[in-house]
Amino acid sequence: MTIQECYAKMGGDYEAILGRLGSQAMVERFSVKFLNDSTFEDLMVSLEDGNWEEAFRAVHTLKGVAANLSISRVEKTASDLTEELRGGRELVHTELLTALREAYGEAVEALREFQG
Amino acid sequence: MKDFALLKMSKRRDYMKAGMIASEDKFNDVNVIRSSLREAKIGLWVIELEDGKEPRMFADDSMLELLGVTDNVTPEECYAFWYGCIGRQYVGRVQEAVGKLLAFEFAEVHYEYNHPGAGRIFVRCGGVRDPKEKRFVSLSGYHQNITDLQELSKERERLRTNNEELLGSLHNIFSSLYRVDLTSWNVVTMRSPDDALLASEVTYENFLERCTKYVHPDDVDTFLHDFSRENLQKLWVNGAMQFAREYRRKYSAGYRWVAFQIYYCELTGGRKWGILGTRDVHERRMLEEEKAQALADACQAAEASSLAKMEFLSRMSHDVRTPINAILGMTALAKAKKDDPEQVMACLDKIENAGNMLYRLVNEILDISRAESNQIHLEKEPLRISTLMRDSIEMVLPQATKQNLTITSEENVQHDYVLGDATRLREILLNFLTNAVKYTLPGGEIKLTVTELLASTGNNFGYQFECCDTGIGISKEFLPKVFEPFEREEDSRMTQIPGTGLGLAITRNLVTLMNGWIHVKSTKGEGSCFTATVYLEPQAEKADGEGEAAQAENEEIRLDGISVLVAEDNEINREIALELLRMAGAKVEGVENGLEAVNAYIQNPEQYDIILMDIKMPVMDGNEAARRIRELESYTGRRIPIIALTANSFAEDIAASLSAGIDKHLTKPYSQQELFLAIRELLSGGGTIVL
Repeated sequence: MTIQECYAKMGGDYEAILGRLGSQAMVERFSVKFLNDSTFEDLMVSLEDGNWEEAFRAVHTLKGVAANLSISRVEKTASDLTEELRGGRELVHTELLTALREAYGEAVEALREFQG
Repeated sequence: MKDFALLKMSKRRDYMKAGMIASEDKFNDVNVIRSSLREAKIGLWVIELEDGKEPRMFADDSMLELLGVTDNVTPEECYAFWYGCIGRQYVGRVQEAVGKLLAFEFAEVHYEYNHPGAGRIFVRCGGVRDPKEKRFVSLSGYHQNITDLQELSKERERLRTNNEELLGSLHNIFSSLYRVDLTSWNVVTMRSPDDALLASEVTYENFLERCTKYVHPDDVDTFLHDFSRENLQKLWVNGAMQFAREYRRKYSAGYRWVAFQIYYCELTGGRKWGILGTRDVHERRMLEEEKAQALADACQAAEASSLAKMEFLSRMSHDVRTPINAILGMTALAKAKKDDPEQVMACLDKIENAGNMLYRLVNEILDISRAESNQIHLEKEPLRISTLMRDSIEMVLPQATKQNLTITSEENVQHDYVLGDATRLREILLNFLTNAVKYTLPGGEIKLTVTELLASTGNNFGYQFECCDTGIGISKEFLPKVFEPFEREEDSRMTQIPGTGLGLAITRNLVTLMNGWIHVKSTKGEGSCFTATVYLEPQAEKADGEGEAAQAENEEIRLDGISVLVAEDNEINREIALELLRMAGAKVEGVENGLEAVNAYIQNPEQYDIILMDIKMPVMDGNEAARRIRELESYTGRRIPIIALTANSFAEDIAASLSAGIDKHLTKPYSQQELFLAIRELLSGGGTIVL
């Protein structure tokens, strides 16, 4: 699987990340780092604990990471959840979390596949 | 004064003496005659003209009254008085008449007489010359006050003029005008486009029959009923003063709407007339019909829309209920099987699927309602048509490959760079493409084509996106409904295919928002072609902006020797930033939160040229860190530029950062270009700039 196919699969914007990082090698190097990023786990833990402040910070970070890596679908769903949790509000619309989880799952799957 | 009246009086006395007044003698009684004459305001006169003498006038009592003189005037004075009172402009006429009398002819003249008491009066004066009188000229005759008659004729004249004016104005209003005598029910034509009918008198029933020849066959019955003698009589009895109805009347060029209007008039003397007029009201009627039609259309549209809403709701409740049922059912099942982890997982999977479906459905419904209430705001951002095409295809490629479908694309575009809402445009293309993938059987083909239209509106370029497939196609019956919300064709092959039936409805809304239109061609069993035509603005500063950007892209920005502190808690973000900076030749150091950044700064304030600061960080956030650094600067006496890196730049966030002392905002994801330009700008003393 090429990195382009990987981006297509996870609903990312390869063109954008390429433009930002300058070369395919850079994209390949940084995108897989997403697999080691613990922000999603932090988010889950915070949500379980009901630590809404921390959950907001985590999802906001996740949004930034996904944006930096142009994993658009994760960015979009994380962004939606960020607004939901903004100001330390409780999670009401759980479907937003489901959407993020789905997008995140897809991204992880695609990146793992790319990594081989 | 010679009193010939007195002479005659003696004769009357004789008759009375005789005690018998024979009937044939009745008119011999001069008193009877004189009193009659006096009643009729007729006076008698004698004028004598004798050479070498003043003219003399003898007048009887009535004449004296008519002349306005007392009886103690001489005949000469009387003559002079009469002559002097003749209206100036009538003297000629009077002299002419006298000339005729002199020639032994009868003469009569009407003239104006200035009566000393009654003012200006009109008189009729006539007479003859006495042929027996040889010594001098003797003229005698009558003098009658005809002022009243004159006034009457003037009044009549006035009435006639009024009448004519009235008729004239009626003529202007009505193309035909008839007078119906409501007693005899005879009709007189007063005005008609057909002159042959003028003044002809026919019975009302004949008249109606004549009209029916011109009235539209569909209107004849109502016309005959409306204007029947019985109906009109009923109306008058009920006090109606007029009655009007409109019918189609035949003209050589076709039918036109004509108003038939009848007015009821009761004249002095008990005569009753109906004045019936017809006038052309076609234009007004057409306008009214147009308005009525528009109203009916609007009404129908409203009904249809309310019907559609009802349908929408009923379908929606069905579509929403299905996944909810699945969720509830699976939850119950999972509870029942809670000791069998495999079963529970399977249930949870299904619950997740149903939940996701519900989520998509709700999102799409929101999208539709937003579009319908015009709440969708289209972005105007620079984009490339070619990128749009590639991105869209890439997104469906994995699924298409899985189904063994071939996707090709074709671009016939002159202007690749435009301004538009890339996300929404991609949504449109994706909807087309995912439908094509869904409904094309393995081995099929899908082709996405974009063609720039030659005809553009204003400054905008037109682009036609066409997505054709060799799929199962759409039936003729369903074709008109494809863009309606929740409409899905019943097809055995499709029951397996998930979908809400909202995709194309949303697509149509989006295309409409972009001032475009959407179109579908399809043949059952052969495939479908969806076309969306949209108009997009050219990139305004394309010539400069693009050129500059391209130039900037080519010109590699180096940050050799520049020392940068990057404060970013997320490892990936931090590493990306560090790597980009390192590649440009910068010396970099990364820290994980605001406190570390402040500490690093305190260690050696001179060490860094610029700080990149994430805002949302644990331990100490970027704003707080920036505030502390600014406080410390009062000791160092040097201001270090700080760039904020944040995932969202709401105005209030930017305001908070600015007040904390941050110089510039970059929104993640930023490109290396943006980052380098920002650094270079701040280091070259660009000052405070807010992005």
